[in-house]
Amino acid sequence: MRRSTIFTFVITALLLSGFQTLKAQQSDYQITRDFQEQYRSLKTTVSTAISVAEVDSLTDEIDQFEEEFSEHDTLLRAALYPDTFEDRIEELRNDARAAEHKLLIIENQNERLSSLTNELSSYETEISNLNTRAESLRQAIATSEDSERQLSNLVQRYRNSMEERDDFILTVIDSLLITYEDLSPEAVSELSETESGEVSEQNNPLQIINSIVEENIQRLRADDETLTTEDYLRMYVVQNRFNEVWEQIGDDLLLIYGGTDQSSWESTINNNLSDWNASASRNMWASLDAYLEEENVQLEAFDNNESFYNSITNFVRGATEESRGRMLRSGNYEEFQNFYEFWNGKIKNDWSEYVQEGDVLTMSQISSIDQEIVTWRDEASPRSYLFPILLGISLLVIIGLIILIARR
Amino acid sequence: MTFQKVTTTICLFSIIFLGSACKSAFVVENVDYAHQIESVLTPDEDGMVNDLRHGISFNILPLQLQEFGSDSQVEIDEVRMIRNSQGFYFITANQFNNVYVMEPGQGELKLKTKIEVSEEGLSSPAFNLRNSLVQLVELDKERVFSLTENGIQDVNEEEQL
Repeated sequence: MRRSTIFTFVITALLLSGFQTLKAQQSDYQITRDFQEQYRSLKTTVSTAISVAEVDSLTDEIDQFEEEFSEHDTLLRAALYPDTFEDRIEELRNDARAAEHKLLIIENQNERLSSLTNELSSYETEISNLNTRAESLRQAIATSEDSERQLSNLVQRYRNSMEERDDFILTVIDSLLITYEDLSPEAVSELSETESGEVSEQNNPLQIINSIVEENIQRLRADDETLTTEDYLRMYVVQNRFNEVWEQIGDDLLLIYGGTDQSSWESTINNNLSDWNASASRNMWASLDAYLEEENVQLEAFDNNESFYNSITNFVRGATEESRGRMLRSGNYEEFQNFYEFWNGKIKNDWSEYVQEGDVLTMSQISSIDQEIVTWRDEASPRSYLFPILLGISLLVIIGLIILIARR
Repeated sequence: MTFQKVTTTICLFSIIFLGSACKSAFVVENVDYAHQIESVLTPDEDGMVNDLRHGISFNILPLQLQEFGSDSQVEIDEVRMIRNSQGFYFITANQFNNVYVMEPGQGELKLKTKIEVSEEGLSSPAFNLRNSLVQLVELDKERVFSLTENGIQDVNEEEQL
C-alpha cells in the first residue's frame, strides 16, 4: 500500500474519531492579539480625539468592544496578567472621561476666544471711531473762530470723547484679562496649536494690542493744549493698567497667537509699551507741574512718584517753618489755603481715583503729607489777640482799683 | 545455599530496602504546567526562539531538520508552542506535517511523540487549550485535533476525560 493511501486512510479514520470539524474556529492567540490591537487603537484614538462629539462616539465603540470580547474574559485574564479584561475596559472609559473633560474645557475656551476675537474686532472699530471723532474735534478747536462760549463747548466735547475712548480701552484690556488670565499651561499649549494658524492677522489680538499702543503714543505726542491735568492723569492710569495686564497675560498671548514670530511680536509690543509709558509719564508730570505753577504752588522739580512726594513734603515743611518765624504777624495763611485747596480739592478729591490707581502718590505718602499739612495749618492759622487784650484790661482795672483804694 | 548465606542475603536486602525508604524524594503532586495561550515565536537568524513570558528559549533548527531534512531551504517565520498540564511542549509551525511533543529535561527537550496531522503541510495552525487538553486548530480548514502527549485524542477517550 502506498504511503499516500495509508495517510488518506488514517485521515478518514480520524475524521470519524479523532478530530472534529467546527464552524468558525478561532485561535486564542489571535483573539488576544485582536483584543490588544483594538485596545491600543481605541486608546490612541481617545487620546487624539479633537471634539466632545468624537469622544461620545468612541464611548459607544468602547461599549461595543467590551461586548465583543466579554465572552473571552477568562482567556484575556490569563493573557493580560496581571491586568484583567475589566481593568483594560475601565482604563479606556477613564481615558474617554478625561479626554471629554479636557475637550469640554477647550471647547468652552475656544468659544470664549472666538467671542473675544469678535469683540476685539468691534472694539478696534469703536476705538477708531472715537479717535476720528476726537481728532476732528481737536482740529475744530484749533481752527475755531467761534465765540469763547462755543469754543469751550467744543473743548468739553473733545475731552469727553477722549475720556470715553480711554474707558473703552480699559474695557478691552479687562476683557483680555478675564479671558486669558486663568489659562493653564496645558490649555495655552493646546490653544497655541489650534489658534496660531487660524486667526487672521487682522483679528490677531497681538495686532490689535499693538495698534492700540501705537495710537496712544501718537495721541500723547501730539501737542495738545486743550487737555487738562486730569486727562493726562487718566491716560497715565490707562497706560499703567495696560502694562499690568500685558505683564500678566502677555506671555500666554505670545504663545497662543505669536506663531513663528513670537520674539518679534514680543520685542515690538514691549518697545511700544515702553514708549507709551515714557510719553504718558512725561506728559502727566509736566501737566501736574504746570497746574501747580498756575496755582502759585512752587515745588521743586519732580518727574516721578518719589520726587513728587519729596517736593510736596519739603514744600509743606518749608512753609511750616516760615509760619513759625512769623510769631507776631499773621502766618502765611493765604499760601496755606491755596495749597490746601489743591491738596484737598484735587489730589484727595477730583483726581483721587487716578492718583491712587496710577500710584502718583501712595496712600501712606498721602497720609504722611496730611500730618505735615496739619502742623502747617496750626502754625499758619491767624492768632487771636483777644486774650492778651482782656488780660491787659484786667490788669489796668486792678491797678486802677488799687490806686483808688490807696487814695481813700 | 546454606542457612548462613540465606540469612546474609536477607540482611542485605533489608538494608537496601530501608536505605531506599529513607531516601524517598519529597514530591508535590497535581502540578498543572499548562499554558493557557499558545506562544507564537519568531526565530532569529540563528534559529533561536525565546519565550519571555514562559521563560524558555531553544533552537528551532533541529526540529526544522527533523521535519524537512537537511536539503530543505524552507524558512520558518513563526513557531507555535503550547504546554499541556502534564508539562509536555507541543511545537509546530507553518508547513510542518507534524506536531512535536517534547519532554523537558536538564537543558534539553526530548522528543516524546511526533504526531502526524497533515500530508501537505499545515498552512494556518494554532494551539488552544480546552479542558486541559491541547487542541490543534487548522484555521483555514476549520479542523480541530485534540492532542495528548501520546498522539491524537480519540473522541470517545476525550469524552471520558
